[in-house]
Amino acid sequence: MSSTAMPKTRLNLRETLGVMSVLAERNFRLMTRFSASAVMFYIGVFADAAISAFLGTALIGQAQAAQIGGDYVSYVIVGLAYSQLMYTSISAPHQSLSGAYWSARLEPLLRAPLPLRTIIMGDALFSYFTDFVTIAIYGLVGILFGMAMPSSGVILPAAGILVLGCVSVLGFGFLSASMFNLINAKAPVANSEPVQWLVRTLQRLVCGVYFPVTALPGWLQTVGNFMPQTYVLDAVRRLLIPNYPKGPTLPVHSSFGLDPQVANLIAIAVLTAFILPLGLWAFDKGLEKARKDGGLSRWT
Amino acid sequence: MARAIVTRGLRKEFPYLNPSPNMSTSDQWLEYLLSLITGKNATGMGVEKRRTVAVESLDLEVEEGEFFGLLGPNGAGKSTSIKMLATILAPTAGTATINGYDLVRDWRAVRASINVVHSGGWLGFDHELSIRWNLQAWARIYGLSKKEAARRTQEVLDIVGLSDKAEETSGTLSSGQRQRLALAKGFLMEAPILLCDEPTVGLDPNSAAAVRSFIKDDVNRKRGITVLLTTHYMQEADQLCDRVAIMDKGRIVACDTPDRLKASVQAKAILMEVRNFRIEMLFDFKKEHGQWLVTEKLDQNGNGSLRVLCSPREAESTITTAVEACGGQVVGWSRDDISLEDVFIVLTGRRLAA
Repeated sequence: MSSTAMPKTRLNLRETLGVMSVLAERNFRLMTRFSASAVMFYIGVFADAAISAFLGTALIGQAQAAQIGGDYVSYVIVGLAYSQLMYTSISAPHQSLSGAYWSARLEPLLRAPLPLRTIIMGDALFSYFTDFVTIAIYGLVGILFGMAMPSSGVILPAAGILVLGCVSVLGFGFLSASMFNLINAKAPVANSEPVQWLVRTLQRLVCGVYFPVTALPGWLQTVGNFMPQTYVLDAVRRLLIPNYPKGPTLPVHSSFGLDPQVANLIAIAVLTAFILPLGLWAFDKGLEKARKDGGLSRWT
Repeated sequence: MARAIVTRGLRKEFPYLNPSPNMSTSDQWLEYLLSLITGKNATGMGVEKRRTVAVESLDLEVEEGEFFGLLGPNGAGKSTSIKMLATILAPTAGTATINGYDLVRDWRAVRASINVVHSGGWLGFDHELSIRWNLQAWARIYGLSKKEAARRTQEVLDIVGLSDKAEETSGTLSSGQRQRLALAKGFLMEAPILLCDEPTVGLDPNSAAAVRSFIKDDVNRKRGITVLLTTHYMQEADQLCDRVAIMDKGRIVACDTPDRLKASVQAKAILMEVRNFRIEMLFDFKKEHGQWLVTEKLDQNGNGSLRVLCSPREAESTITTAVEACGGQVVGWSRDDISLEDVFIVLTGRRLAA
């Protein structure tokens, strides 16, 4: 026997990144096998963004536009782009776990010498890459509708908030994936998993994707206060939209007397510190339950 | 000789919910959540929590380099046992060591000590991508570098004889080739122990023979890998295994070499060639002579053979007379070898296969 194929108990960082890259490559290869489907998906993205931009330019009055920096196209395009990335964080862990389970890959994956969470993240990685194509399409629609272009100096901070935003809601993603085993939410159909459905719905309703949070009734604004997406979207708009209001735009901004951008970052950090460990804990609990009740096996 | 696998009282119970048939899935969720909150079985609310014992108590000692079989009918607890040993299922009670590592405490080392092959192993392949790419990807997921993964993939493809199919997709393979593909995946890492869960289920006789020969000759004899095989095919267990544990209803009812197990049976088997022994006569025969275990291969006219497992003291003429008394005609008889199926029947009173 050769010695190089001896099984390992743990992988180092380089080997772990190698596994993540092979999972991303797999998803890329599978997507290119169904390229027509991918093209149709992106045409749909373009149409959705264009509809939002049309509605914005046609229906938003000057009074409302002032609240969002006078440029609804920029407002909604940034909202859509960032919410897409955060939606990926919310949905990818459950999708990945569900995909592995239904394609009989889960048991062999569990025998890999690295935690299932890492494998799930590697599998989700490609979804983030495809999101960049989606964001580029949103950007294209924005340019077509006269979106004000941000200065190049804000690109790096905006990218930082983008990463922060994805991490901040990843806890919801793992919480959603935990439902796969905790409440047997295994059906591979849309909205069959309650956490993902709830967070996605709330994200669109109360986090300021399409309209300012202040336009909502007070109790819904309170709900939005507990969603990191609210602060991520506000923070990134402050960077990318030139005429975005400098003063308080969210209820929390007025409460602590801090600079709104600093308040955004603190709120994101606090919520992440709560949601991410909760999600990971629940995910591990789900796995533990599945190992007890046999929920990891489907076909064999 | 060192022991590769040792289990002591390994037990697996599955909790499960038994919902009322007219409850929707969401109702079941709600009821289950209520039962979790109240801490009570939700009996009376439509859902009842019960337990199924899949493995009552598993006590095994498998030596290094041994080819060990777990033989039993469907539902005996064989696959559950394999899944516990593969760390996919958590045992409810008992202890086990694999390659010297504790199954629960040292689960990482246990995983590094085993390869697992099961009948549906090829299902985990992406059927849109080539066999070579799939195997390389799994090798990398298991921790090999890109270069090592490519080399090892070629090695296992050569071992299982699928090198010429490497650039095709798994959808183009025959069922036997798919099973060899599952074996190839099971051999990407060179672990000292192979857990093989019914690897020949659903295969035609030639493919099954090729898979058996590969596991016995290439894996066990040539490479010295310890094999724990589960099967409900008695001939497979008889042909391959150094020792066999017969499993029934989650328990091991006997464990020894196939020859010693067969020798332990205090019975003899008589094979009779019969004519005009129609089905109603057969029923009468079985009813009147319940002390004999009778299996038959008869055509619609009642022509064929009867196999009677009886006490060694029973005279062949007694059985011949009994057949003729029921209306059949005996044209000849011979002694048949005792099989592992006979052992199972004597131990449990039931047949191995349906």
